[in-house]
Formats: sequence, structure tokens, C-alpha cells
Amino acid sequence: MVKKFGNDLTFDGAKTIIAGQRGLLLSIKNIVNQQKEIERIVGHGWGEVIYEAERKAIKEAVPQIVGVKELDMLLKNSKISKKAIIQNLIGLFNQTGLGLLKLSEFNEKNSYFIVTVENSPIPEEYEKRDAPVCFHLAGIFAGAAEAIFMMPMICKEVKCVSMGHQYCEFKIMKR
Amino acid sequence: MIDLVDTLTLDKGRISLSTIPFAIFLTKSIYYVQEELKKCASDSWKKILYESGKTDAYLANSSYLRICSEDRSSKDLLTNSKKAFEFLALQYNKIGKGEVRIEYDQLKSIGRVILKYSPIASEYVEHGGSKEPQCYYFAGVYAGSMSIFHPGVEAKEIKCLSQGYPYCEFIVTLPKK
Repeated sequence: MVKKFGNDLTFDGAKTIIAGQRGLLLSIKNIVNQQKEIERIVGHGWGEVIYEAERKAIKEAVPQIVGVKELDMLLKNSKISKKAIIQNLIGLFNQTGLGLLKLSEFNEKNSYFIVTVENSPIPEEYEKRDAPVCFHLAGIFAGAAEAIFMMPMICKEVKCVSMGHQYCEFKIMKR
Repeated sequence: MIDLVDTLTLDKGRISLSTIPFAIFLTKSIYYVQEELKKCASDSWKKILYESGKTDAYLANSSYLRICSEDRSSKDLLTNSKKAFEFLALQYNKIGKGEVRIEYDQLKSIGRVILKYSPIASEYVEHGGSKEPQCYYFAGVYAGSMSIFHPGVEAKEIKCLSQGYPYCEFIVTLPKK
């Protein structure tokens, strides 16, 4: 039995597939519990554990999703637009249940962009915090940016729903 | 009873399963989370992933059973361990968490779960394999699922695809009455 959502998400019997990649449904409660347990064990810097894991995972996945050939053409300065690839990946992200992602600023020359996430379920599960908690998302954006810009990139969450902001905002730039 | 997979919805960037908020994560992410945790949390990573699986299964299945509470067959599950195991196998074959076959020894109160295509173990295979079992999340899923019917159930992976076995195998132990 196959259940499809949108263009890229399929529950095909034993397999959850998103854009050709293996995926797994995890509850938001579980993710937040997991983050809090990592925070308890690791202490300060707990977010780096999650950030690094996602950064590595997505950096590995993006060439498989977008196609190694397209990324190679980007490297050779062809007319394939980095912005168009980012827009495609945003469409994909918006099928994962992690909120609604939008590109709010893009500067290809300076390898810099800003994204916002509305309706993000992870920070909503938190009590009020004084620091951002969306390290999964920050790592995802850093990993995707590294694959597309082909250079070390960093992502900082500058607004977070857990801190009382209306949406989460992330700045992605050269490391 | 409606299938668990039929309770899945995607709306305004959110996914829910049996009305519980869920999200899709790449199994590559789970692989790297486990590997990062091994560096800084030593063996605690196993418990973190096991408890994750328990939480997911308990939340989704208890909510699912509430949705199906008017159905007589859902009530049978609470009193019949064998039926509960079979029910689990059927539902988990449909929500993209690997293909499951379950055998249950009623006398010993022990279940054996065979998981084909574990997406987590498959990730380890792609990254060179592993000497130890890696599917603590799935062990937690089976313990958490059965805990709804029989509180105190625990599960342990004894064979893993990542170690070179053709499938993953888990032993699920029900508490003695």
C-alpha cells in the first residue's frame, strides 16, 4: 500500500521516502525530549551535537537529491541558479512537518541568505527559553548551504518561537 | 478499524499521525545524531534512542487506539497478547518503519520481532557497517507499542542488519504476571 503526500513524500509499505531519501517519522514530543536529555547530559554546547549531525547528514543528502551533475555545473559557473535550487529544497522542507520555510533574503555574491520558519512545531513544544532551540533546523540549513555554495557555511538562529518571537529566523553565511 | 497510516495528515507545514504532531527526518540525520552522541554521551546514547522509540510508539498507538475505541477489535487487543503483537506487525508494515514479522511464545511471554529493511541499520550499512546493534530506536518502538497493552514490556536487539545479518531481530519480554 502506497500513501503519497505532495510531490516528494511517500509511505511505501516498509519505507518512508522523501525525494528519494530514506526517512523516518519521529514525534515532535520525542525530538524535544531527546534535545532536553542531550542538554542534561552534555550541558553547554548541547545544540552543537544536533547541529553537527544535521549539517553532515544534509550536506551528504543534498547532492543525492539535487543531483551531483547539477551541483557540478554550479561549480563551473553555469547558469543554474543557486536560488532556484534553494527554492526547490524549500518546497521539499515544507513537506516534512517541520513548519513553513520561506526565503526572505538572498545574496548570491556574498554567499548569504536569510530564511524564516512559521508554524514550527519544535519550539512550540518548549516552555519559554532565553536562547534558540532549533538546532535541527539550523544544521539542516547549514548542511544544505554547504552543498550548494560548496564552501564551509554557518547558520545562526536569530529569532526563535521558544523565545517569544512570532516565527523563527535563521541567517546563513560563510564560515 | 482504520489503519494507522490513514490517520496521517499534512497541513500548513505540519504532519500529524493519530492527531499527534510528527515530522519526517532523514535516516542519515539519525545516523549522524547517534554518531555525534557516541562522542559526547558514551553509552547514554543507547538509552536516549531507546526512550525516543518508546515515546513515539506510545504516543502514536495510544492516540490511535483512542480514535478506534468504539471498535470491538481494539478492546480485544488489551486482553490478548498474541492479537496485540499481530496488530502491531500489521500496522508497522504500513507506516514506513521497516517490514516487521512478529512471533509470540505465549507460554514464555516472549516475542520475537524480525525487522527487514531497518532504515537506521541500512544507513549504517551504507557507512561501512557496525560491530554492534544500532537500532535502539526500534527496540524502543516495540517496547513502547506493547507497553500500551502490557505495561513494563522491554525489548532488546540481538541481531542487526548493520552487523551483516540479513535482518534485525529483537526479543520483546513481557513482565511476568
